[in-house]
Amino acid sequence: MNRPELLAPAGDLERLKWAIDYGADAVYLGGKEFSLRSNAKNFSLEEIKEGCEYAHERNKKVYVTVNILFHENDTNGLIEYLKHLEECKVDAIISSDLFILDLIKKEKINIEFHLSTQKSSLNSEAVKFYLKNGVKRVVLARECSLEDMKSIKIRTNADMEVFIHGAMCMGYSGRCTLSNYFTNRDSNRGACAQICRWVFDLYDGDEKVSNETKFSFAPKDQQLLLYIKELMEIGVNSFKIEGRMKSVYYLATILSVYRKVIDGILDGTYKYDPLDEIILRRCANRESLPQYVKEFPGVNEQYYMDREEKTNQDFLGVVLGYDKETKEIILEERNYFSVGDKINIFGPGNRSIFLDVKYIKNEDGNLVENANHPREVLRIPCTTEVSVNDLIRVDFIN
Amino acid sequence: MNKFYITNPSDIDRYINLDVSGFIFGIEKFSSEFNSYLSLDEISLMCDKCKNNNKDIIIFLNRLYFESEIDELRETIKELSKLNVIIGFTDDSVLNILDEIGFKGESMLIANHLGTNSYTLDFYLNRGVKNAYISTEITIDEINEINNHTNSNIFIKGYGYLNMATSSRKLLTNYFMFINKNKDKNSYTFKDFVTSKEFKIVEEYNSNFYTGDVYNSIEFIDKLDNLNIILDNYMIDEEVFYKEVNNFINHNISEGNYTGFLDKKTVYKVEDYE
Repeated sequence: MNRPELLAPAGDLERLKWAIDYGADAVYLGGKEFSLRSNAKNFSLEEIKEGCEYAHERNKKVYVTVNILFHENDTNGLIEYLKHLEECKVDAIISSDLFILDLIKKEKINIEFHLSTQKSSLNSEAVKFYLKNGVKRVVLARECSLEDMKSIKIRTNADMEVFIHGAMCMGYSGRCTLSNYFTNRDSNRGACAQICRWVFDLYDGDEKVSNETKFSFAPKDQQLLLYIKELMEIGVNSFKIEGRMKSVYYLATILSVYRKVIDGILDGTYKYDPLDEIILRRCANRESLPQYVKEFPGVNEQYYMDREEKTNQDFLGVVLGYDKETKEIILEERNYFSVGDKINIFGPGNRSIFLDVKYIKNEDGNLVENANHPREVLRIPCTTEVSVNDLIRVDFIN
Repeated sequence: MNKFYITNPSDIDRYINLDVSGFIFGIEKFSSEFNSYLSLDEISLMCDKCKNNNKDIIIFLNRLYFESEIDELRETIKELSKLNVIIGFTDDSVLNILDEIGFKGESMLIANHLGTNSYTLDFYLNRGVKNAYISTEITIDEINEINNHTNSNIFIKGYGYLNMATSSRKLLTNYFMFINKNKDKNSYTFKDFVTSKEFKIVEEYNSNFYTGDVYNSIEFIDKLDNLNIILDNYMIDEEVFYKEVNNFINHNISEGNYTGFLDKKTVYKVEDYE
C-alpha cells in the first residue's frame, strides 16, 4: 500500500508552519491574487517563498491555488505571477481554468498543474482528457463515491486527490452562482456569500409550504475517517482537508487524528478508536458525515433549521514554553478554565498528556482561580516536559 | 447580425419557417433542463426535417456524468455521431469520447457558469471545439470582448430562466421528508426574507436553482451583434415563448425586462464593495 499524502490548508504563513509541524505532507495556500477564499489572509510572494523554504527543508510540498474563474480582464499579471511561483519553487498550482495549461506550456513555466475540484471531475473519461492535456493530478469532485474512485483509478491510473474532511458546497463546485444572484458577490472569484447557509420560505404557487421549519439546503460537513483504509487501498494519492479560513487549533486537531490513522494503517498498528471521531466532531462547529462515499446524501446530510452550528470552548491555550526549574507550563490562554479542571495537552507526533490543573499563576506570579482573559500568559504545573506550540484543550476523554 | 436558436419547441412546424438558424434538443438520460427529451430515433427524424429546411440541430449533453453512466454515454455518443448534429457538452468526458471515436463533426462547449473568458474557449477551440455557449453571469462588455478575442463561435442566452446553481442532492425530496409532507411536484419557488425576491428550484435528475424572473435580453440586442442567441423555453408557456421568439427575430424591442448581469458587474473581492 502506497503512503498517501496528507494535504492541509494554510490560510497564512503561521498556519502553514503549524500544519507541517502537526503532520501534513503538503499544504495548499492562496496568494493575494487569482485565488478563491479572498477573505482569507492569503500569502504575499515573499511569504510563499518563505513557506516553500520552510516546507522543503522538511521534505514537504506547497501547492498554490490559482483557482478563480478568470473573467476577460482578470489575467493581467498572471504570467508574471506564475513565473514568480516557479521561482519560489512552488510544487504545483491548483486551478480549474484549463487555459493555464496552455499558458504554462507556451511560457515554458516549469510548474505542475493540479486540476481543482471546481472542475467537478466525476468520471474516468473526463480524467483521461485532463491527463492527455498535461494535468498532473486531478482533485476529484466531492460527489464521487468509493466505487467511482476505484473505477477511475483502474481506468486512468491518475494521480488522484480526494477531500476527506471539512465543509462542503451544496452544489457541484464551480456550478453554484447563488452568491452572484443574491448579493452580486462572485462565487467563482473568491467572494462566495454562502447563500446555502441561509434559510428561506418555500412556496407551491401562492401557498406557503414551509412552516416553522424553513426551507434550507445547507449541507453538513464531510468526514471520511472511517474510509481512510479503503481510500488507501483504492490508491488515492492525496487526502485533502478543507478549510483555509480555519484556526490553528482546528488544523492541528484534524491533522493529528488523520496522521495517526494513516500511519497506523501503514505500519499495521491501526485499531479503530471511537475517540478519534469524538475529537474530530468536537473541534468543528458543524456535524460531519461521510456524505457521498457510500450512498447519495439524503435527508440526514443537510440542515433544515436556522444555523445549527455550535461553537465550543475546548481550545484552552497554546504552550509558549516549559520552565524546567519550576516544572511549569507557560501558556497563552484562549478559553476559560479553572483550578481543578481536567485538561489534555497534545502536540505533533501524537504526544498527549492529561492532567488536573492544580493551580494557575498569572503574569505577575499571583495565584488565580480562573483563567478568564484570552491571550493572557499564565503558568500551570506539570511534571512532564511539554514543547512550544503544543496545544491545550479540555479533557473530554476522561 | 444575430442567429437565433430555439430550444425544444413542442411543435417544430410552428418555428421551422421562422428566421431561426436551428434547434436545440435534449436526449433522454443525458440531458437536463428541457421541457421534454428525445430518444435517438426521434432525434434522427428531427434531423431529416431540419436538414430539409436548412436548420442546424444541436444536442445538449448538458449534465455532469457519474462513472457508472460512462459506458452508456459512450454508446449514445457513438449513435449521435452518426447523425448530422452538433454535439454540445458540459462534461469533458464527452470531448474525450468524441476524440476517441474519431468524430469529425462539430461540437460545442456548454460552459455554463464557467465560460467567462476567451482564453478558456481558445483552449477548447485548439482541441477542435468550434462553438461555445458562455456564462450568463457576465456583462455585455465582457461578452463582446470575449467574442472579439476568440475565433470560437459564441452562443449566449437571449431569453429564458437563468440557472443559478446545480446540486446533485435531492434537495426538495429531502426537505419534504424532513417536514413530513408529500412532495406533489418537482418545481417550487422560494423567497428570500430580506428582499422578498422569488426564485425557482426544480428537482429532476439534479436539483437546479433558477431566477424567479424570466431573463430577456431584447433591449440590448443591438449591443449583442454577431452572436448566436439561444431562446430557451424551459418552464415557459408556449404561447408566450412563441411571441418572444418573434419579438427577437423582428427586433421588437421592449424595456424593463429582467436582464441579469448584462449591465451589472459582479464583485470580485469583498473590499470592492467599499
